[in-house]
Amino acid sequence: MAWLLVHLYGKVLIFWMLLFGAVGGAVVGAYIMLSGQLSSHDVRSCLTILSGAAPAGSTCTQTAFSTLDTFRTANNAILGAVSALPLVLGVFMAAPFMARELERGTHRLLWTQSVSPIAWLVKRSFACLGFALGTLSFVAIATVWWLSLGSVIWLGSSWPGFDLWFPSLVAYGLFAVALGLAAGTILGRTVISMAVTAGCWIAVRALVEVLLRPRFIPPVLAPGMTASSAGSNWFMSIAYIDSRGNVLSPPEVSAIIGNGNLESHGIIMAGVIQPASRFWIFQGIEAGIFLLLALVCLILSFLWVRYHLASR
Amino acid sequence: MQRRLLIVGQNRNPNKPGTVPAAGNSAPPSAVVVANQVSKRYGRTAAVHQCDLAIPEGAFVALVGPNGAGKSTLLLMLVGLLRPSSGELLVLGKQPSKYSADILAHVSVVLQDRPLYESLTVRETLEMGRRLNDRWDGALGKIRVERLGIPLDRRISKLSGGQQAQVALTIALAKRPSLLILDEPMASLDPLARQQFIDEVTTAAQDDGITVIMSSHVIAELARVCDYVVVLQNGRVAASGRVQDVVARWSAIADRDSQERVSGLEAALLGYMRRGGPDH
Repeated sequence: MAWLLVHLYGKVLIFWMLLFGAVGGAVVGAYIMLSGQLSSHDVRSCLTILSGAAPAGSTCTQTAFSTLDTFRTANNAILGAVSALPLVLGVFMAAPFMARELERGTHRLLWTQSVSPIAWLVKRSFACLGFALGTLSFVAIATVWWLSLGSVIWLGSSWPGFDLWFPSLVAYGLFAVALGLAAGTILGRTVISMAVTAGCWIAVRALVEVLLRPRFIPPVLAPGMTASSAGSNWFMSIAYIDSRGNVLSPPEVSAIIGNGNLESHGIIMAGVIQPASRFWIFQGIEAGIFLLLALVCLILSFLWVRYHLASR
Repeated sequence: MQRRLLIVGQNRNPNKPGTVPAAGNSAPPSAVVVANQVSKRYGRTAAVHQCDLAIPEGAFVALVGPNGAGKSTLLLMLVGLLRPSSGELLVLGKQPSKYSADILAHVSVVLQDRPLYESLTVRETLEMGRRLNDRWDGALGKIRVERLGIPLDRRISKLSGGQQAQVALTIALAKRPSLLILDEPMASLDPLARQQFIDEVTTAAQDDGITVIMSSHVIAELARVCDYVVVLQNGRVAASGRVQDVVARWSAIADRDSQERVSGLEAALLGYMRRGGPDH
């Protein structure tokens, strides 16, 4: 079976390896090009100025601005390309990988040789997942390198590139591939399964990112912390706390203070944050969710083949 | 309830060692295929209805009937690609739907649409067969393909329909099967390619004593090579038995009912199909 897969998909595998190699190579190349420039005195001074920590009247040099612009452009391109890779794998590799086989009926050729339907599914699934794991790991490692560079100059207040750190990125990829395999197996139509894979993956990613991730662990209040002083914490929002420690909503705050100020009414502002110390816990939870979903997709494929395709 | 049994005749190749285990109480010990009241339903539609068959080892069976008669459904059940809704189906003494490797090693099939990997060359296709089958006869495969003038290094997608059918047949034969199942393999072939295909099947069946079940709606081409016939109509076995018995039976019916003269299998089968079987 391995021989057959290599002969059938050898050229496709080379294409994917070249694509991932190109992305990984571009990330490493950009790192090598920019790492020296970003650590220069000019750029570091400029960053201090931009963060508001420098004395008034300090200015950035043109060279420093130019370096930072180049970095931002490269950063946007890299983050965009890398974050799309899991989806690309699921939609353009995994879904057609199964659907075309069923569409053309060639699975029946194998099923009437010595390959049982379950063996057929397991071998194809593991080949696809293994390939995705290998290629994504390569890109993820290169991206972590890049992200470590970005964190030096990151001016935002959320966890930089959370979705692109190794555990999450690989888990997204494995989920996308398992989803593509399941859609291809169950729907048996190439274009439809590609569309369903894309739709489901984007929907699940958005759902987890927007609704679930902020609630993995209840956030904490950091009195006095603002977005610009959040450092490497994930700054989520601002909260108002009264003297008894109650959290007030903005309308309540408006009603209490009227035209006065917060301090006079004993109200303080606090940052609602996920502390930096939770970063890897969140990575683990996020990766765990997507790996679990990948497992569910694989089980669905198995059940479909076992109780539908192979026993019609 | 109507039960029709394809009566087991003499083995065409009696010297071949018996490879078929005992299949069932009512089936003869040398039956390769035994179907007891086998039905296959899709929702409310019965594709095959209460089919009884016992096909002897070494027989060349023509499975005939109009489109939608249930031929392909029956054959797909024999190779385990479909599961009977009810009844018992045994191939080489085992249920084909279990997909056991030991039964698959002895059963070959050529499907109507000839599913082959179009991106592989003929040589790679044969290599695939070798790697997937323990009983693979590499020499047979290569010799057949070369004898037919099919270039080994040509991709399957570049072959004609007739050549693709021959490659599919080669894969089926190189497995050295005990049972060869052919589901309308000549449907899209021109007359010359059909002739060549059927000659190849006949030769292989005679040389190796393979049991062949071949479905077709081109009765004339099967009539001269098969020794048993099963007529399916609306999912039911309308007639079955040795060719000469089927012809004789229909001749008697036709003679009795309309004094119509019947000669040959094709005329007899057409008569059966028009009438829906001798007892209708």
